[in-house]
This record gives sequence, structure tokens and C-alpha cells, in this order.
Amino acid sequence: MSVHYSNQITPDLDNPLILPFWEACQRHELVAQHCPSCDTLRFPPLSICANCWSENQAWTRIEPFATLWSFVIYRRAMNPAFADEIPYAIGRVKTDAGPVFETRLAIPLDEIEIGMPLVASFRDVNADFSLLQFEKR
Amino acid sequence: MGTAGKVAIVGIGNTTQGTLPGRSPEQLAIQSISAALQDAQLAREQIDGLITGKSATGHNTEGELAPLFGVSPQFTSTLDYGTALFSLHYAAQVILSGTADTVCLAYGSNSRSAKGPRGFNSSFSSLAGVAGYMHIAGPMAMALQRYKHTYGVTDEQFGMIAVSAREWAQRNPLAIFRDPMSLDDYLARPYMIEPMRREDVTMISDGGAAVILTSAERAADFPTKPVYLHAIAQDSEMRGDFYADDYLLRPYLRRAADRLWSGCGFSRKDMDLLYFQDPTALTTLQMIEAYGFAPPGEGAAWVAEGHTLPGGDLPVNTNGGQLSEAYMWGWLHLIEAVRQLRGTAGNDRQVPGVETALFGASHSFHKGGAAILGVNQ
Repeated sequence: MSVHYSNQITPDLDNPLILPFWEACQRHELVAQHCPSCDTLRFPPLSICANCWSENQAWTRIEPFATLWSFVIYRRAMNPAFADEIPYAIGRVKTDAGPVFETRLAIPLDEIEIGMPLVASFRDVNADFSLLQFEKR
Repeated sequence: MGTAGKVAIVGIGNTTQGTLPGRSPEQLAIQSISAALQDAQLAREQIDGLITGKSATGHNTEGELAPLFGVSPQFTSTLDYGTALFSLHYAAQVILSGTADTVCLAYGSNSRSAKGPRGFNSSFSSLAGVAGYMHIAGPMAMALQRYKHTYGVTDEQFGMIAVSAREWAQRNPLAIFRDPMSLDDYLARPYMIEPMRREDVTMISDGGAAVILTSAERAADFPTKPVYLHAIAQDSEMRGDFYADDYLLRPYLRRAADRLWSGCGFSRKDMDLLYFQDPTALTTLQMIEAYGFAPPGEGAAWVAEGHTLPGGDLPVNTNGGQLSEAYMWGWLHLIEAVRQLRGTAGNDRQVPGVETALFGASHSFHKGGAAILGVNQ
């Protein structure tokens, strides 16, 4: 049994810690958690700033430009929800602003190279969810 | 930490490995304890410290195991993420502090039969999860791709880690994967998560293991040949993947290695055998380099030269490792090291004249460490 990605995969939207990120994805905006106290940027988010222990955390828009640190190609579905997507590429992506994202690469598999410049884009999966991905810049 | 031969392993025990339905992690642990007590010629009443390794499915805690153990040692504890290496370190600390004299470490897991967790990022609560970046092999393959790109390593070189493990497993009746696998066989297998093949990744399995330690003074009273713990070291990146771009390459392994070798009285040349806990072949490769047996980027080429194979000059994972023997969180690496150092590994795989072994392991991408074991106090 395969479940089609586009109508089944939705993140846990009940988690308030990361909800602003999913909401920004729906607006097609790349954001990272930002500590107003010490100016640290991070992703994934934490409940307090691990740098200065401020409990007052915010989100800020960051530039969508990035570089590919490494990538993998899923040739086998490790979860049936992704069976229809095989093969697909996941990149570890270092943004110019600093935070690292690990997510889909929307690039033909034979054109992916470590070190290539990337730009964030968003795939509208369903009414509740847009997936952050990176494509060639 | 210079444990300096003050602590010794005097008992080992384990169950069969594989698919063992109908048995709880604690039952498998008790079976292993029973075997280890028999090995050490001890009664359970003589165990005054019991440390349980929390299993892959979150069981085998002291509260679950102690009622089955049937006596109440003066000291009991559970190590979260109860792998062999970190449990061994914990036992040494308990004995050296005088908290207990004779400590039994026990591990059991039924994660294959129980269909337990299959690695991290398997939920849809994270970006990585909804993107399909799943299974421990995902980030391991990510690190491998970067490594191959940096150093120009080939599949023919990297594949020899899995081939070497399989060569040893064929000589180990306990091993789950004993079918011959040549390098050509390996290369003919498809990628699972490119650039990693299924053969580069462990398979979840059921089983149990137990190890008994005591102070070096008491070890002389046991019927078994003591295997002394000469040195231990750890380092970590427990704070997680927020700070270091090279997080997946686990630079803290090298810091742990520096701490281990510093002042322990041993050098790399003294090591007769190497044991590296191997959820994937990459972790073996990273530790070969971190502990200094090959320069950075040259570990796979070094393995491809044949050093680690049966008959090689520095065998690695003579049990077959987690790639080919069983997924036992390093416990069977430790037990095999003891067998080899005692000289009781059997004709098929006993390495002659071995006196000292290195056992390295890690906890996912979070922390790593090692121990030096030997028969000379």
C-alpha cells in the first residue's frame, strides 16, 4: 500500500514551538528562530535560547540563499508515505545567514553537486502545508 | 581517565541473536546474566552492583529487571541509551569509587520482534521528517557523501568495511549474516540511501548480553582470565546540531581519542585488535581515523589494503560487528574482545597472541568514547 505524499504528509501543526515555521512556509518565506537578547539565529527551534537562556524567542525572515553541504538520494522508501516519491534527494543546506536546513532538493538527481549555490522555494503540498525545499540558484 | 588496570572483566554471557519472539528484553537480559554468572562461577547473591542498559525500545530498566533478578544488590542503576561502551565506563566508575565491588551489566532487546523504533526522524514533527529524511542511515549517508567528496574515496574502498565484517561473521556461529559476500557482490547490491547500501547498515535484532566486572584485586580469585580495563575516555556534542557545520563528521571522536591516548601508557602500535560499534560502516571508518589508525581521508583505503580481514595485521570487529553479527549496541563487540583476549574465541577466528584491544563506540551523532582492554595488568 502506498500513500501519496501530497495528500497524506502534514507536519504536526499542534506543536507551538515550530508552528511559526510552518506558517511562514505557507507564506513562502524562509524563517529561522531568533533570540532578541543575544541575536542568535537557529533551526530547528528550542524553547529557550541555548546561548543566553533567554525565554523570549522570536522568528525572523532570513535570506533564502544557501550552499549545499551534502546530499543523499533515497532509493528505498523508509516510510510507506514516501513510496511514490522514490527516488528523491535530501540536502543538508547551509544558509548564508547561518542556520542549516535538512530538506528536499528540487533539482534533477544527476545535477546535484556538493557546494552548489541554492535558493529556497516552497512546494504547496495541501491547504495546510507547504514544504521548504531548495533549488538551483 | 586512567583506570590503570584497577578494574577487570571476569564474566561474559549472551543469548542467541536474531528474531526471538515471545521473550521480553528483561528475559533476554536474565538469560545472559545467568550465562555470565556461570562463566565467572559466581552466585547472583555475590553481585553487589547491577547496571541495566535501557534498551532500544525503552525497556530493561532497573525497575523492570531487578524483580526478575531476584536478589537486591546494594547498588542498582539504569543507563539511558545503555550501550556496552558507556555501560562499561559506568561500571568502572562504580567500582573505583567503592560504591560496589562486583558489578553486573545487563542488556536485552526485543526490538526486532516488538517492531520498535527504527531510528530517529521517523515522525512528522520535524522538517526533516516531513521531507522524508528518515532512518539513522539518512544522516550517516549524508556524512558519507561529504566524506567521499572531500577525500575522493570510492565505493570499492568503502565497501571493504562491510566485506571485512562479513568475512569475520562467517567464522562466528552467533552471527546472523554468514553468507559469503565478496566486494563484487557488495558492489552489485543497490543503494538504499545513496551513497549507502543495505550492507553498510545494521539490521535490528533481538538478543541479550551481560558482563561482570570487579576490582583487579578480586579478579585474581576468579576462574576466568581477567581482562583489565586500562583507560577510558569520552567526548560529546550533546548540545546538538546547531553549532558545528561538521556535526555529522563527529569531530569530538578525535577529542576523545586525544584524551584516551594521553598518558594511558599505550600507543596505537600496542593494539592487537580493534572493536568499533557499527550501526553503519561509516562509524567504523570515522573511528579508524579518529583513533589514529589511518590519517583523515585514508581510512577506507587502509581497510581496502586488508589489515582488518582474517589474517590481517590489525583485525577489526572479529565478531562480524553490527553489520553482520547482530544489533546489540556494542555488547557483542565487548564480549568478543574478552573472548579473544582470553584466547577462547575458537579455532575459526581466534587471533593468535593478542594482549590488548581498543573498543570504541558512539551514541548516534551525540557522543563517543573508547576503552583500552588487555590481559596484562
